[in-house]
Amino acid sequence: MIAPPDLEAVDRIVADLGSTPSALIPILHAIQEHYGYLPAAALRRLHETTAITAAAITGVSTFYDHFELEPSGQHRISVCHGTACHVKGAELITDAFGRQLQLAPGQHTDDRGLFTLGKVACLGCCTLAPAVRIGDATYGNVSADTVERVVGHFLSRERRKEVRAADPGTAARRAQVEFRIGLDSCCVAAGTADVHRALQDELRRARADAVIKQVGCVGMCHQVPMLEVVEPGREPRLYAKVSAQDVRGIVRHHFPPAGVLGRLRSFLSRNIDDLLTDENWPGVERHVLEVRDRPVADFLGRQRRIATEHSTELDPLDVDGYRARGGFAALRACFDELPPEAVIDIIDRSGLRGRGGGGYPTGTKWRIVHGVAAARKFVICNGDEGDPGAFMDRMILESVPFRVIEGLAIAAWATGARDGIFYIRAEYPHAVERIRAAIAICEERGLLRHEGFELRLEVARGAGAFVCGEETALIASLEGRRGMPRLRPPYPAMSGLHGMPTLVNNTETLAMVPWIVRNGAEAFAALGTARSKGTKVFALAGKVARGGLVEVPMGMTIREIIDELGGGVAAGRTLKAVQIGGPSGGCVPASLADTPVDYESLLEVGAMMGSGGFVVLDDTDCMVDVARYFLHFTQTQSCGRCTPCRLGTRRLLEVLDRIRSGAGRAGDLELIEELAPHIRTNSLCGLGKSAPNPVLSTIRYFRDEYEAHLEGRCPAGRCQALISHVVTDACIGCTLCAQHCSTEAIPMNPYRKHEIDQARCNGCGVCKVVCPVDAVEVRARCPS
Amino acid sequence: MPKLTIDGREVTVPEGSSVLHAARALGVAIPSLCQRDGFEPSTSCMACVVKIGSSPTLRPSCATIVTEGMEVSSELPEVRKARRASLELLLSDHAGDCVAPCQLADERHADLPRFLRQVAEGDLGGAAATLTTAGIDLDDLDGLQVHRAEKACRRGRNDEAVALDRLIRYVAAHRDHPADAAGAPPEYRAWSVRLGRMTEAEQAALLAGARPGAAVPPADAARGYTPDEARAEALRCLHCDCHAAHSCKLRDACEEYDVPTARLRSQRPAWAIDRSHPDILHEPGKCIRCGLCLQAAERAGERFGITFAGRGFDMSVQTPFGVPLAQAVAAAAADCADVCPTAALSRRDANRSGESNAP
Ligand SMILES: Cc1cc2nc3c(=O)[nH]c(=O)nc-3n(C[C@H](O)[C@H](O)[C@H](O)COP(=O)(O)O)c2cc1C
Ligand code: SF4
Ligand code: SF4
Ligand code: SF4
Ligand code: SF4
Ligand code: FES
Ligand code: FES
Ligand code: FES
Repeated sequence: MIAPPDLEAVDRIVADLGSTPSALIPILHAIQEHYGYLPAAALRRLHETTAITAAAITGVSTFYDHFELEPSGQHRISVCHGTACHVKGAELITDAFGRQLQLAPGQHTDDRGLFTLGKVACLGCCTLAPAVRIGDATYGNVSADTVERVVGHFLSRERRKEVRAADPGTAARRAQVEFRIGLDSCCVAAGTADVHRALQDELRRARADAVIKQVGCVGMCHQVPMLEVVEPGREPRLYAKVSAQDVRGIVRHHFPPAGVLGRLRSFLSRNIDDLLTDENWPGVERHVLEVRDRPVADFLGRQRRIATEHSTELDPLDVDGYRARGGFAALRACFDELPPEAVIDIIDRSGLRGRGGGGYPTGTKWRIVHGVAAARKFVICNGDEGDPGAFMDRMILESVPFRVIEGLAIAAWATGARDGIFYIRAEYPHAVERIRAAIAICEERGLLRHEGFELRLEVARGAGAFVCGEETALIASLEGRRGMPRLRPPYPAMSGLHGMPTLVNNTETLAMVPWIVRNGAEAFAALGTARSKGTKVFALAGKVARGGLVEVPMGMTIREIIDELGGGVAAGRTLKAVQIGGPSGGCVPASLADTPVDYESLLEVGAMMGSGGFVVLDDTDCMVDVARYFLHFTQTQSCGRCTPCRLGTRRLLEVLDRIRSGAGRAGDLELIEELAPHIRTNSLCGLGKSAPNPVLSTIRYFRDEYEAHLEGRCPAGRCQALISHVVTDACIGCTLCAQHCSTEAIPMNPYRKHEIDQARCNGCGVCKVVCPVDAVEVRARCPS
Repeated sequence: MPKLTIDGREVTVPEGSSVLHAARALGVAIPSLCQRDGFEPSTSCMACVVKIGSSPTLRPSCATIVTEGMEVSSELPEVRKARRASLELLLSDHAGDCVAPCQLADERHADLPRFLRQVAEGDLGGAAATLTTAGIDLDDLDGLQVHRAEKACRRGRNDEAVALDRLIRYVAAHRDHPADAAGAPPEYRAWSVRLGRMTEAEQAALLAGARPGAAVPPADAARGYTPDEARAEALRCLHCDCHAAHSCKLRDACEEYDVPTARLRSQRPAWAIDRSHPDILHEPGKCIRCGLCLQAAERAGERFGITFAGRGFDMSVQTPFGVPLAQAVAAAAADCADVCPTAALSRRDANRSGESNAP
């Protein structure tokens, strides 16, 4: 991080990105990248040197979540609070990190300034839920219990990076093995001194060309004594909880004794694979850099890949590979033989409808933009994808960037636009890079040019606001304003970006286009149902055996998707409901699992296609909790413009919160049923209009669960305030629960049955996770 | 010129008119808090919603442009219910007293803060009129009861209630003074929002600006207040009544729709007041986030102006970079106060002690 008085950076950024109001968001991104946050002095400088108003700078920088006005910790811990992670306990993980970093309530950065704890919506690896990203590493299947090890692992990894970066030549120059050992207080207390002595002996005995280096606290005091072996040309290896007896094995592993006998002896000595190393720490699943769920390859039979065609076999930036598989043939066909009207006709006849949620007929929209006479028109690819349980647009942008570009180019050709913009959310840096790289390749090859047609493409980044997926808010954001939607009409198709006719289409919608033009409208229309044609990509997650992205023809039933593609719910569990469509969608109960998945059928049962989130819930999921989760999401994402959404969602959330915490009152269900429809019919934009859906659909199908909460019971045993943890007679007295309890509510009682002090217990459930004999039970808390 | 119907009545309006303007042309009243002629529609309050045709969702009339043959319903029960619900939501996030606690508590609801301002000004005739309008018979004060008002007086929580009884008697003794041209006191309106119990911090903020010290005792108890004593005592009033009590669009609309004031309120937002500007006052707890002040400041070309900061429920009116309000709006200050539909931004009232803008 660079401390501000250095304000030249701001001037450089302005010189680079321009000083017009619409450059504001890219400028803020650049400033934040430079300083690590947005220093007040830098913002003032921006105001003084540009035409951007002070009001806009403050207004915009406080609107978007991505912008930080305070310096944050060196590393960011982002706990995924996407849907799949939520149902697997993300809330508890956040609490556990808070305790681990000793954060006071409301504090986000630890006192040492090392970590800032935050939340993120769907990291796109829902099958590893709960997932956490620290810096550039992603950890999967994290539990409240492994949080400490995860932090430790990350720190040791960082430290090694530093060592390598600071001293790149050393290893090569000396070609010597280094044994690093910590000799700070807790290391010594844990017996490191013995290990140190043993190490000296063993190295002497093995005549190893190695040095012992003493290092300071690595911040992983729970894993000491710890030994790190750095060998030139190899990944350093970290041994944890080493005892003096283990040292011989370790040394022999790195310096195998010469001669057959020696090697045999080495083999017979304690097998070092049994040792705890950073590669095999129990419970820590680490993924360096990007991980994300691959499309579910199994059961390809029922899948039909159109938007995601070839995504598993193609190098994303291999333009020749893409062309060899028919890529750019559709655009070529447009240039050569399909005038705009003909293209629009094809799209019309294919029955393609917008995949961004609303399902508006794509051909109709194109025709409107085509029909408006204007000096300039825009086509925008909406890659904002904010639904916390969906990541198909990201996968499409990253895996088949050329297909989206081709789709957008065809849309531009058909509508008469010459400017194309990709609006991609800030949380998708790889997608941004991919698309930029792919655009550069297209331009270099002249793929987007044809007599009199020249397409200019640019990539804009979002800044962390779900509402910016809404098209008018997206346009406001592109114009450098707070992402607040406006009343439609006028629709963007008539008056959009800078007042010009603007076509906004979803990423997946555009990715369908080349296939349709290439294979004909009829081929597409042959798939799907009467009014929902073609395929749809779903993010299958939650309580299924196999999660991931699936692309299936419209009209497959919910049950078919769960059973045939997802492999069903876990043995012993029963399907309770499916949440479809994310925050704007609803819950479909198991009894309606034969509902075909298409726009109309889903609306009929109170759900919505939305962006295609498909989260399977089983009998351990609480429907009040699920409804509250989604409402909480939309409530925090409200732009604040209109009363029903700004205040209505908040009041509604308060009612749900009190129901969930056992403080519900008589009349609360009626209050929900009064507020929710008001928000739905009176909000200005789709965010508010759809915000009550998760609540209304769960109340429609699971009213008894709401009523149970009003009586103080959570039937699924999820709502912390309504349950208690109890140790049963199965307890073997191992003390693990006592060691891990986050609030010291369990006195240590070796070899005896443990007891939980209910007054201290905060319901975090760590005890249940760590108990080796399943002796912790969740029971209804007696209403006090 | 498109023709439309509103509640079955036909009207023709110029191209590009809003439904709200068409309604006004017909004399159909629609509450519209965040709309102001000549300003961009904010489409924020949603008190102006109407039903167009048979659409299941309602639309803000202020920003819906009339089209030929449009059928608008403004008085359907569902429309009225929706307006009422939006207004009720606004109240759930509102901190203010339309009416001062003393006036509220007084049996006759005499406008006591106004009375006190008149005493402080020396307008004793006006003060007398304020009392008599409320039905206080100044010729017969034997049975006068103001202890309820005195008990409710907010000043009582700091030191001592304003000595209303003594001041009324003082005014009665001097009632033959001619009244200033201030006119009759505004009629008491039963519909009002209430702050209820204030926190320490709120109480302190309210106190700032009023004359410090406990109640002024008359030097001669038998003769009552001298003019100076009366003025000094009257200056102790905190002026708890809202600056916009009689111009507030929120209050007007809520009164018309008889909106319950505290049903949805889970916890009242804090009441606060920024008195740092020489011409205007800012009470953020009364803001309905209409954005009109932002527009007024922007039009005036203020260097800083006003902006919304934050998002959603936490969105609030702020000055850019947190500069003081006086720096943020200079030339536009009065305009900002005038466009504000509530008392979130109001002009200083020279009659209220501590608010005259003379340095
Ligand atoms: C709150 C909200 C969020 C939205 N988010 C997205 C999004 O992330 N991606 C998207 O393509 N459309 C999103 N939409 C829908 C867009 O407004 C727009 O309808 C869509 O991009 C049009 O493309 P399509 O016709 O191809 O679906 C959102 C709408 C709302 C109301
Ligand atoms: S519905 Fe919500 S997000 Fe949409 S304009 Fe209103 S406040 Fe903003
Ligand atoms: S702003 Fe309006 S509603 Fe609020 S206290 Fe003042 S008069 Fe009453
Ligand atoms: S301080 Fe003044 S306005 Fe407030 S209650 Fe007392 S007399 Fe009334
Ligand atoms: S201060 Fe007044 S004018 Fe400004 S946004 Fe709030 S209510 Fe509107
Ligand atoms: S990775 Fe957490 S919900 Fe997707
Ligand atoms: S003192 Fe050794 S790791 Fe902390
Ligand atoms: S006046 Fe129309 S929304 Fe406020």
